[in-house]
Amino acid sequence: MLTLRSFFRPARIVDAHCDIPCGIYDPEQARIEAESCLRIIEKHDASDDKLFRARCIHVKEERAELVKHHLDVLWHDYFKPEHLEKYPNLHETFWKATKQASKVKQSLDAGAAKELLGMIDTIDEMWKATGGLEKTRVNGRPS
Amino acid sequence: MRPGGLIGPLLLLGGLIAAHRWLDAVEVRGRSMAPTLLSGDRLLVARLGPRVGDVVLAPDPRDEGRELVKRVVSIDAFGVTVRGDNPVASTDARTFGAIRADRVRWRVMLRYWPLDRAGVIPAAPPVVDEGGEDACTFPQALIAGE
Repeated sequence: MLTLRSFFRPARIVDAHCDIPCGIYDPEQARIEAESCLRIIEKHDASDDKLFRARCIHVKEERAELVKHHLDVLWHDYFKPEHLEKYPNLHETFWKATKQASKVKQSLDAGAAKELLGMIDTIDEMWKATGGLEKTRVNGRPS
Repeated sequence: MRPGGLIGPLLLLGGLIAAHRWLDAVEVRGRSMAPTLLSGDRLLVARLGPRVGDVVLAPDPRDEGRELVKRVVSIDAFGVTVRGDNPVASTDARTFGAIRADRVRWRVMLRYWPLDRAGVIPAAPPVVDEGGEDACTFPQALIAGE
């Protein structure tokens, strides 16, 4: 029964429910892998050990693939149509960043890896501006 | 503030005294109905059967203790098919199938809180389809630019 009290403070909660919460993905996941790519390229360049250099290339390709994976998941599972209204360039930003990750996967260009970091930071800004930080990060993380 | 923002709630207050089991107030939690309904919105609901396009309350078939708010996209022999207006963040008929028609008893009439968005709930948004592809369609200009 509807009373004045329940009108102002409904006790009956209805769920606009979604099984998978949005606050589980963080651009840091992509950023960390992209940083690894940059460092691996630097270590590759500093070495003249053929075997070591081959391993560097192998591991870098693996990490770059993870960058693409994390960006893809963030793109389609975190960002929503209303975010696209706020950031009309959202698709383009992700598209370019994932393409850049492909470039880092294919090459040993430290400049390309640095550029990728910048692109992930742009995505990070959009993520933060849409409340991603508050929804996702767990308190107590070491700085 | 729009005049409609105040008249609605005032009329309601009068109506409440007469209202018994046919009207109720509920609060929305979650964002599967965004942008139509946002978390924290308070709604007036009436005990009325579902029609296609209505926003309704229905028990979650997987957990009857949870009452869902979703939009009706179709009604047929299998029951009532509901969908969130925010298809990329909604668990709905795509997961749990149609809901028995006799379980869908409440229809959302209007929002009375927050006041600046008070009023009748807008009709179905243009895109309520499988996975919301339209909203996420890749811009043609980008593809052409490759």
